[in-house]
Amino acid sequence: MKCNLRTDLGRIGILRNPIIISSGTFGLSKPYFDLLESEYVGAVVTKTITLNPKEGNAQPRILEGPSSMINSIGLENPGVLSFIEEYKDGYGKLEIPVIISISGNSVSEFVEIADRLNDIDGATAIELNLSCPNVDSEGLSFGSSPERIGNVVSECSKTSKYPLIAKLSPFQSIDASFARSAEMAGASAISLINTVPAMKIDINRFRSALGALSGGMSGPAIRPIALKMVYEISRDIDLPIIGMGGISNGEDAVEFIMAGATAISIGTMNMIDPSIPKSITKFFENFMQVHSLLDTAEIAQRFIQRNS
Amino acid sequence: MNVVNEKCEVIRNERVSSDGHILVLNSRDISRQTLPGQFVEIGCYGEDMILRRPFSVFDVSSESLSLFIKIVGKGTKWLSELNSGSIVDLIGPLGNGFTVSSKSRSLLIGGGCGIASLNLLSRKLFDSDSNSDTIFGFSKPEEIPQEIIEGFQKRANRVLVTVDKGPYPFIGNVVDRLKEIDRENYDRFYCCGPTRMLKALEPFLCKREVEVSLEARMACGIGVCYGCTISTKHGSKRVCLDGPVFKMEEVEWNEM
Repeated sequence: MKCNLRTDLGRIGILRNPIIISSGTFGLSKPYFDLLESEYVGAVVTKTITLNPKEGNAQPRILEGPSSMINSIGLENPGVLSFIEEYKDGYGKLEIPVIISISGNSVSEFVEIADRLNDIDGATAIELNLSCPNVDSEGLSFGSSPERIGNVVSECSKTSKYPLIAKLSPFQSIDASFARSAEMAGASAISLINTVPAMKIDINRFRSALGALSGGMSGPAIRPIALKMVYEISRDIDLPIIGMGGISNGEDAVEFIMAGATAISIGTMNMIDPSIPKSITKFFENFMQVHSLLDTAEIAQRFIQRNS
Repeated sequence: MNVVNEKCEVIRNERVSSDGHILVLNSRDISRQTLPGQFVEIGCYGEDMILRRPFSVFDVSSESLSLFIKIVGKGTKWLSELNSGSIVDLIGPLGNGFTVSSKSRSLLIGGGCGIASLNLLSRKLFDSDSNSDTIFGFSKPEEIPQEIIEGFQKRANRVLVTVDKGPYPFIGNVVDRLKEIDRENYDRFYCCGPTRMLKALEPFLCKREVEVSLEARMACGIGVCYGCTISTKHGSKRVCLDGPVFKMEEVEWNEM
């Protein structure tokens, strides 16, 4: 019996397998590609692109905590125009579907980036990074209410030729209201969860241990929390969910599929071992064979049957 | 040259100073490709650690690769306690490495674990008929890895060692020792050590041919995460990918 890993992401299309590489942890550098076995990757997400170039935060940008990492890279990126210029000879040449991650300080900035990205051909989707901490004219942080999330999604979907994925922070995943709002506004999938806002203080220097005041926490420590959020939200909306948060191996990936994710995404642990997609694929194949499952959707169905 | 992931057996783990260990690993794929100044990322699987740790390669042979481990935190402590026969997971060789020119007169300046990349460099310079002298700085006398220093003495005309706090024949930092030396005797300088040391050296070495190997906190080590970027005259650069070796004049020292 040959098990089927093909993954149907609805309007986004069909991926050859459910394994996606998360934004900020995939790159085009040679050492990474020497180690990556790309035939086991379903899709990749680019680093988040902003309208203007961003230098990013001061050093240090990386801290390790118990089974976790806190980063404060600060979205360092060359801006959308350079990104478009470099796309054709870079991401455009990959034989893996590419999802472009974007972030803005306002609805109009998101829309402008989405508009410019219409110049690119062949991308698979746009992921809206809605965790941006910036505050706009009304003094509220971007993702602070479901209405505001809905607003970004609906304005971008009017402009963009690409299907949209709304990537939610853990605070936007506490209940399904944000995801539902994104769904109503025209999103094609929901990604969750983004990193957890976190900080670390250097008590001897009376200051943040990071260059910035705080950062985002990722890694296996956040995994059970992410899993529960995927479980809850997947029950409330009809869109495919891309589940992520500390996934390190095949067991973790299967858990997210059981919880209701259609696809899974690996971030931090992919940087530590770029060959993880291969080991996850092998695990899926073996697991599905042992349990006589034909495709990944059946994994989720069996979990629901046993827990209803 | 391809970056590879190699499972390596620990052949020997030897304490060489109060806080320094030499870890000798069985390696072919990485060791045979490694140039002086390049580094490896080693997986630390103790307790709740997830990130690999970057280490400059201290020495190589066709069958082995060794690392100088200075105990500074949990990961290095875990590595220092590995027994022979343990298996570790390495990615490498990474980064660009030093420029080794034959028949040159070089001065190597190192601080703390900066001794690691300079060791392999000094061997390669020796093999290319280049003369090299060396200055090393350590915090305390017990941190001096005497055997390693003796290795340098066999290859160099002059090896000067200094410590921040005595008792030791010479108290001071590497800049103090550099001032004793006629810099005109050298056509190349190689520096490796803490950023603070490199920054202090800069005013004394500017306008010369200097390569510095930078230490940086890294998450991936393979050019993906932008966790280790620095400012240079040519914009933001990743230490893991564009470095760790940079021309001294290229680095924006004020922003370090």
